[in-house]
Amino acid sequence: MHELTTHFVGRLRSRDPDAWFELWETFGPILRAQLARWGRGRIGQETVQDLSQETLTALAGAIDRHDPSKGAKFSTWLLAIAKYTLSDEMDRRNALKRGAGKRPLSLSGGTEDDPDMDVEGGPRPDVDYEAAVFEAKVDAALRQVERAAGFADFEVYRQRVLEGRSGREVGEALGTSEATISRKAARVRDLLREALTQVFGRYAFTDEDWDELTRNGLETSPKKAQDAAFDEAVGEVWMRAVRRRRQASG
Amino acid sequence: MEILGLTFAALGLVLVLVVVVPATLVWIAIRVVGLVFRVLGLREPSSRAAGPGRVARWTRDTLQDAGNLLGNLVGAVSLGVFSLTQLLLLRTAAFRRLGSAAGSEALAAAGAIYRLLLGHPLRLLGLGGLVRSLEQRIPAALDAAYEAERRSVPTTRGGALPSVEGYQLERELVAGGSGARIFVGRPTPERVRDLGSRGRRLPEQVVVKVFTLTAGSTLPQILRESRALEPAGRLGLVLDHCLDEEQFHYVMPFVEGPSLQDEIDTLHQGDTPLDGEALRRAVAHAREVCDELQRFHGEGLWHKDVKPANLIVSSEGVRLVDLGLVTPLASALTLTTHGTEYYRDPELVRLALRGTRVNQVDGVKFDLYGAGAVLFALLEGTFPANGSLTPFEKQSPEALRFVVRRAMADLESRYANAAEMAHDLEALLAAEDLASFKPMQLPSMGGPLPTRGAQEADTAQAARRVPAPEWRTVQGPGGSETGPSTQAARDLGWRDMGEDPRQRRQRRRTRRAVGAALITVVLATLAMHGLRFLLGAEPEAPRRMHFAPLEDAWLPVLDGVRAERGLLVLGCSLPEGLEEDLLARLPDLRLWTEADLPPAGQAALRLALEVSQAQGEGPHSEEVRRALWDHAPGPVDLLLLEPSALDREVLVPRLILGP
Repeated sequence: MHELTTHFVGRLRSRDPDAWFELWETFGPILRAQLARWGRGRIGQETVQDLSQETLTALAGAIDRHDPSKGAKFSTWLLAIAKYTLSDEMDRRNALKRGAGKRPLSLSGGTEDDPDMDVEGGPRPDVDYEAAVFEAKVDAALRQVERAAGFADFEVYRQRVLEGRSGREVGEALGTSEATISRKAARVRDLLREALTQVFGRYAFTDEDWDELTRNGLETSPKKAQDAAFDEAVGEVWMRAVRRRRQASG
Repeated sequence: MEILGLTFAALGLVLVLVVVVPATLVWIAIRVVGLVFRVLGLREPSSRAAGPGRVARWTRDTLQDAGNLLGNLVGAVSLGVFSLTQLLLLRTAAFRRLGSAAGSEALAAAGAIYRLLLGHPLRLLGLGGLVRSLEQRIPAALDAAYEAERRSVPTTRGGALPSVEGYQLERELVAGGSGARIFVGRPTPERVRDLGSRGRRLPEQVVVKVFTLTAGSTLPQILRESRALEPAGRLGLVLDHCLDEEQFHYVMPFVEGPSLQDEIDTLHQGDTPLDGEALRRAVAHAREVCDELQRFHGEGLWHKDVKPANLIVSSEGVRLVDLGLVTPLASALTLTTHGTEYYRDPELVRLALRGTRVNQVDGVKFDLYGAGAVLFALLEGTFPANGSLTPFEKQSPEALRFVVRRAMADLESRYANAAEMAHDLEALLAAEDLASFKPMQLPSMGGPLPTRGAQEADTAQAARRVPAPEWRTVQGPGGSETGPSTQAARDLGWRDMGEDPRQRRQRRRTRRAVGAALITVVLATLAMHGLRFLLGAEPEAPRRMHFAPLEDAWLPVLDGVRAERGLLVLGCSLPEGLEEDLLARLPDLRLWTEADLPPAGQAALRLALEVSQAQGEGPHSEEVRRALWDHAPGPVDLLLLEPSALDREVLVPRLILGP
C-alpha cells in the first residue's frame, strides 16, 4: 500500500473528522447512486440517504479491521460495505414481511436475483461504477485545487481547460492578457498534478488503483512537453463525467 | 281514376296527419319551449343558428361520446379487477391507487352516459343554456364548496385544528421537519386590539407555527426554534409568540404566492435555455433573494436553509420564509449540519464535524452559497448536484455563471456579503445585452456599479440602520389613529401629530398604579408589624433557605472559578460575605446575576433548565450551556444555586464551566 494510503487509513482509524469528511464528500454521491441502482425502486430517496450514511458508519467499523494484504481495490471494498448495508436493510424489511414469501437479499453470489455478485461472494463492480469512482477522485482533486488556487486562478483553468475555451476568449471574459491566462493555468495545472497524486494515493489499495491515472492520460510527473496532453486528458475526463451523469439522471 | 284519385287524396291526408301535422306540432312545441327558455335565459344565443350544423354537431358528439363510454367502461372494469386483486394480496396502497383510477374511469363513463342521453339531445333542441347549467355551473358550485371545505379543514394530518389563543386557524400547511404544525389563520379582533395597544399591527392573515408537547413536539425542538425569535421579531418576521405548559406557538405574516421552485418549474417547462424577459425575471428574482439575505444578515441572523422551496414569489418580491433553522450569527452553539443538501455548502459539514462554533465562522457566506445554488437552479432548472464544480448545461450568459461560481466558491473567495452579490446582479439587470456582458464588467471585478443599484443599495443600507419607526399619532383623511410615522405613511397623506396621547396617558396610568401598589404594600407591612407590636406577638420567623457549609460545598467549587471569565450567579444571590471573599481571591472576576441577561436570555435559560430537569440531565446539560452561551453578556461560567437533593432547605452551589 502506498504511504499516502497508509497515512489516510491511519487518519480514518484515528477518527480524523477532516478525513471522514473527505471520504463522505468524495464517495457520498457515488454511494447514493449505487444504492439507488441496487434498490431498483424498492427504496426511496430518504432511505438511500440513510443507507449511504450507514455505509460510512459501517466503514468506520471496518477500517479498524482492514487488512491491506488481501489486495482488494478500494472501490471494491467500499462497494462490498455498501452492499452489505443494503442487504441488512432489505433483510430487516423482509423480516417484517415474514410470510409474504420474500427471501432475504442474497449475498452468497452468482444468483439469478442478484446479478451484481461475483462468485467469490463480493459485489461485482461494473464499468459504470468504476468510472464513477475514478471521476469522483478527479473531482476531489479539482475541489482541493479550487480551494488552494483561489477563485480567480481556478476560474481561468475551468474556462480554459474544463470548458475548452481559447486563451483569448478567457482573457477577454476575465479582462486579462493571454500571457496571464497561460501563467495562471500553468499554476493550477501544477496544483492539480499534486492533488491528483494525493487523492489517488489516499485510495490506492492496489497497484491497479495507481495505474488508473496513467491509463487515463493523467500523468502526474511534471513534464513541460506533456502539459497540453495532460490538460486534454483532464478536459476529456471532465466531459465524460458530465455525459455520464447526464445519462444517469436523464 | 276516381278511385285512384281518392286513394292519393287519402294517402295525402294520412301523410299530412301522420307526418306534417306532428312535425309542425313538434316544431311549434320546440319554438314555444325555446321561447320559454330564452325568456328564462337558459337558451344559448348560438342556438338561433339551427339546422344542419346542429345535427352534424350532435352526430359527431354522439359518436365521440359513444366511443368514450366504451373505453371508459373497459378501463373501469379492468382497473376494478386489478384493484381487487391487489386487495386480495393485501397491498393496500396499490389497491387504493388502482381503485382511485377505476373510480375516475367510472366517473368519466357516467359523464358520457349523461351527455349521450341528455346533454347532446338537449343541445340538438337548442337548449344549450340548460345544458350549460348542468355541465358547468353545478360542477363549478361543487368545486367552490370543495375549495371552501379544503381551506377550512386540516390537509396534512387528520383531527381537528388545535386551539391557539387569539387566532382563528383556518387550514393547515405542509410542515417541515421541525416537529411543529403550521397553519394559516386570522387574528381575533381582541388580539389585534391587544397587540395594537402595544404598538404592533397584525395583518389580516397570518401563519401560526404550533408545537404541542402532547402531540409529539419536544422541549428541545421548542428551545431550538425560539432562539432567534427576538431578532426575527425586529425584522417583522415574527409578530407574536406564546409559551404555556403544553404549547408553544409563534405567529408570522402570511406571504401569499407560489414558491420559487414553482417559478423555476414554470420557467423551465420547455427544457430550453432562458432568454429575453424570462432570463431577466430569473436574475431579478436572484437579486431579490440577495435583498432578503441582507435583511436577515443586517439583524444578525443566519437563515441556514436558503433554497427555492423556502422562497415565496409574492406581489412585493421574493420573500424568504421558514425560520426553523434561523440562528444568530453570534451564537456560541456548535455548528450543526442541518440544511438542505445541494443548497448547503459542504464546507459547513466539514466545520461541523470539527466541532466549530457558529461565532467562529461567517454564517453570511453559507447563506450566500445557498443564494448561488438558487441562481444556478433558476438558470438550469435543477439543483447543483456537484457543488461548485457542477457544469452548466443550458446556455446562459457567462457573467451570470461567474456570479453563481463566485457565490459557491471557497469561503475565502466567496462574495463577502449579500450586497456585493446584489450589485453584480444589478449590473447585469442594467445591461442591455446580457449575453455579451463579460465577467470583468461586474462590479465585484472592478466594473462600474449601476447608478440605480448603488442608490438602492445605499438607501437599503441606510434603511436598515434606521431603527424601527416610532408609533405616534398620525392624522389623515380617515381621522386620527396610532401608527408608524414613516415616509410611506406621510406619502399616503398622514400627518405626524406627535406622540400618541393615548400611549402617554397609558404610561402615566401604569406609573400611578405601580406607585399606588408599592405604597399599599409598604403601609400594609408597617401596619402588620405595628399590630403585632401592639399585641405583643413575636414576629414569625420567615422560612429561610440555608447555604451549605462553606468548607463542604463552596470551597471546592470556588477553586474551579476562572478569573479570566465572568461568573453568572443563578438561583439567588451569594451567601453573605462570600462575594467579598470571592472577589478578594479573584480581584479581576466579573460577577453577573440573572438580571444582567436580556429578558429573552432569562426565558431561554429557565426553559433550558426545565428541559434538562425534565430529561433528567440536570443543569449540566448541553441545552443549558447553549442557552447560557447564547445570551450571556460575555464569556462566563455559571454558578447555579439550587436546593440540595438531601435537604431541600439547603442551597448548594454547582459550577458549570463554559467552553
